[in-house]
Amino acid sequence: MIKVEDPAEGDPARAVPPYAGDIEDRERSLAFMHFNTNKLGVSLDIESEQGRELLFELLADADVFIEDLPPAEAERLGLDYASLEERFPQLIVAAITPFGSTGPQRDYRAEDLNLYMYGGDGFTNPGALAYDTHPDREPVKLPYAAGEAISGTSAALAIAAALLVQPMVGGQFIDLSRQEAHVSVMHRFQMRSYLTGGIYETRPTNKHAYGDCVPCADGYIVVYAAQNHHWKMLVELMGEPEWALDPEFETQAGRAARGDEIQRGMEQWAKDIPGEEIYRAAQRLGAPIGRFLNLDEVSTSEHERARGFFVDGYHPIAGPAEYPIQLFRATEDSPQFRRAAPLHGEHNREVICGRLGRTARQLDVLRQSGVV
Amino acid sequence: MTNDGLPRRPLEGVRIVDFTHVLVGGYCSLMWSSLGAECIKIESSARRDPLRSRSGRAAAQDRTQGQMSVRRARGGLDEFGLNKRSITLNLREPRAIELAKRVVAVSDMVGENFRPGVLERRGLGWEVLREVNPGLVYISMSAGGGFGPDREDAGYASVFAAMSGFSSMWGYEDGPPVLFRLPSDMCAGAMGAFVSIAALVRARRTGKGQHIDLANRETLASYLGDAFLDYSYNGRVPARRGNRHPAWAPHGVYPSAGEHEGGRWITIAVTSDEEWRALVGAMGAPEWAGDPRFEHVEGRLANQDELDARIGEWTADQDCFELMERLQAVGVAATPVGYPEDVAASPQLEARGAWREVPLPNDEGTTRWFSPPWRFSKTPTDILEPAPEMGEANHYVFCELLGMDEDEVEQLSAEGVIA
Repeated sequence: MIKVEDPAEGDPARAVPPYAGDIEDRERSLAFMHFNTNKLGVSLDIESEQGRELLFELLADADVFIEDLPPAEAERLGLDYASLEERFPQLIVAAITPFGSTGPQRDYRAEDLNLYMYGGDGFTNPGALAYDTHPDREPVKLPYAAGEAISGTSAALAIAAALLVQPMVGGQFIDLSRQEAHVSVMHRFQMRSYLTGGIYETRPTNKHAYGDCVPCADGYIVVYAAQNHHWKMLVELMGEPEWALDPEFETQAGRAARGDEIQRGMEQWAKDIPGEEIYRAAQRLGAPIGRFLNLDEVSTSEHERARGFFVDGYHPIAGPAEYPIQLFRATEDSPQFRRAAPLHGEHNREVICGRLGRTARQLDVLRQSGVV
Repeated sequence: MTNDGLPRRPLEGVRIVDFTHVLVGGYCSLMWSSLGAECIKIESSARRDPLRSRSGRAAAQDRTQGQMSVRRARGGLDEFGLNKRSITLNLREPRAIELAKRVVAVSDMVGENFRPGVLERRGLGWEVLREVNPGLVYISMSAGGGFGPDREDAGYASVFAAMSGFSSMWGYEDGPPVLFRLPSDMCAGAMGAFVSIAALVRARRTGKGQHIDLANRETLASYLGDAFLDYSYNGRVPARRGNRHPAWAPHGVYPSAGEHEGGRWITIAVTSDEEWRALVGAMGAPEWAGDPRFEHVEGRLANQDELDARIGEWTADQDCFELMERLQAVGVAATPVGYPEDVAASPQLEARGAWREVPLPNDEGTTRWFSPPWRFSKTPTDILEPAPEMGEANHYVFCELLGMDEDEVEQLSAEGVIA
C-alpha cells in the first residue's frame, strides 16, 4: 500500500491533534499515525505533469487505485476512471467521495459531521439518558472519525469484491458514496421502519421503556431487559426487591406501561454498586448487561489482553506504543504491525528509485523542482 | 454468467453456507448476497431466525407490547434476506449435521454469528469443516470474540458497543455517554463482510482457506484507534467531544426553522480560514464576525462557545435546506440533519439509483429497499430477489447440488431432519 501525499502539506490528518507526546508536529498526529499504519509513503505533486507521470508509472504496476478527490478535481487531473481505463485495463479505481461521482449534489462539500447527520442516524442521537439529561441540545455526531471509518469499511469491502473478480473481468470503477454508506449502515433500521410503517424514532423516542443507560457507583451500566426471561434475570440480580415483584411487571406490556417507575427503581439499586460488580454478576446469570468502559479500561482489560487486540508498535519519531489493530484473529492472516505510518515522503527513494528505476540524481532533480 | 462466460456480479460463482441470524450476521450476509454470492441460509422450523418474526403481524404485536417506543418496522428478514436462498436443517439431528457438511463441501465459505462454541458443539466447527473442504473460508462473528475471558458474554448491540469503549466516547462533553444501539450491528457486519471477502481473495490465489474470529467489540474499538493511541502514547483517557473537531471551527449542529418532532437542524463544518470568510460573507458580514478573535482558526477554536451561539442565532430562523444551498454555493460544507423522509426524497440518491422496488412476500405489494453504497462499472451489484421463504431452496440444494433423490429428501423432511 503506497500512500501518495502532496509534497507541501501532506495529508490534512497530519495537522489534527492530539499529537504523540503532545508535541505539535506533522509526524506525530495520532489520527494520521493510526489510520496509516503499515503503509509506505511517497510525496508527489500531482498538479505537475511530471508528478502525474510518476503516479501513472505506479498505477501500471498496481491492482487498486484509491482516491478521494472531489469528482471535478479528479477529472481535471485526468485521474477519473474514464481517463485511466484505457491505459490501465487491469486497474480497480475506487473513488470515495461525499456524495458519489454522479448526481446533482456530487460537487457539494461535506465533512464527516455533515455526512453522518445528513445520511446517518444523527436524528436519533443522543437518545435515552443523554437525551433526558439535555433535551434542549442539538443532535450529536459519532465520536472521533468513526463515521469515516464506517465509510472506509464499506469501500474496503467493495474493493475486496472487485479484487476477487479481477482475474476474470480486469479492472473496473467503484464509485462509493459516503452518504450512501451512512444510509446503508447507520440509517437502515429507521429507514425500514419509515418506509414500511411510516414511523421512526427520534431523540426523545430512541430508547427502551426502561434499561439502556443507568448510572452506577462509578460510571454507567447498559441494561437490556426487554424480554420476559431477561426481566426475570434482572429481578434476581437486583435481589428481588418488593417493587419489582409487582404482578403487572410480569408482562412486557405491563412493564412498558410503567417504565419510568422501573427505571427509578433500577437507578436506586445501581447507584451504590460499582459497574464491574454488576456486569460480572449479570453475565453469570446470562443477562445482557454490560458497562460503559472508558478507553483505559478497555486497554487494560483481561479480555483484550488475552486476545491481543493491542499490538506493540514503534514509530521512529513518536516511539513505542500499543496499537489497537488486531480486530480479528485468523488462522492465516491476523492483522499485524509491520511498520509505522510513513513519515512525509519517507519512502520516496525506495519507491521512485527502487520501483520506478530513477537514479539518485534524477530523484534529486525531482526534489529540487518540487515534484517530489 | 453472461454469454461470454464473464461474471455479472463481483461474487458470482461464490457459494456461501450462511448460518448467520439477526443483525450482525444478517447485514454481513446481505452484503455477500448483494454482491452476487449464492448465499444459502440455513434455518430450521425448530430454530427460526428471529428476523423472520419481526415482519407484518408480529410487528403489530410488538407495538401492543410496547417495549420499544416505536417498533412497527416491517422487515427484518424481508430486507436482510434479499437475494438469499434458504434451506431447512434441524441441527439437533445428526443426519442434518452430515447434510450440512455435504453442502459445505461444495461451497466456498461458511459464515456464522452464534455464541462462541455453539457450532463446534454441533460438530460444525472449523477443525471439522476444514477437513471437509480445505479451501474453506470460515468466519465467526461474536460480541467479544471466540476466545478470551468474556467470550461467553450475552452480546446485544448496545452491550458490546458499551464494552468496546465506543459508547463512552460518544456524547456531549458534559453529559452522559450515548447508547449505541442497532447500527453497531451493521458496523460489525460490514467489517465481517470485508474481512471474509479478503480471505476469499487469498483462498482463490493460494487454495488455502482460513478461520476468522471477529469480535464485534473490537470492530468498534478499531474505529477509535487515534483515541486509543492518545491513551497509549500520552497516558490520557480521552474525553467526549460533542460535535467539535480538534482542528476546525466552527464545526457543529445549529438550530434552524421548521417544524419537526426532533427539531430542524443544520450542520456546518469550516475547515480553513478561507471557508470562514466565505461563511462570514454568506451571513452578510455581521459586525461580531469581524472580531479579530475569529479571524484565524486558533482564535475560533479558543472561543467556540461564543462562536457557536452567534452562528446558532443566525441559523435559527432559516430553512435548513435553503441554507444548505446557499452555503454550498460559496464552498462551505453544510447539510441538514436528515430524517428518513428527507433521505427518501433526496434528489441525489434518486439520481444515483440508490433505491430498488422489490416485491414483498405473500403478494403484499412492493417496497423500496436501499442498495449497497457503491456502483461497480463492470459487475454491478443489485437487489434482484425478495427474501426467501423458509426451505425455498431445499430442492435445489439437496437434489440438484447434492444429487439426492426427491423421495429421500421427502423422507428426511417427514423425519424432521430437513425441517
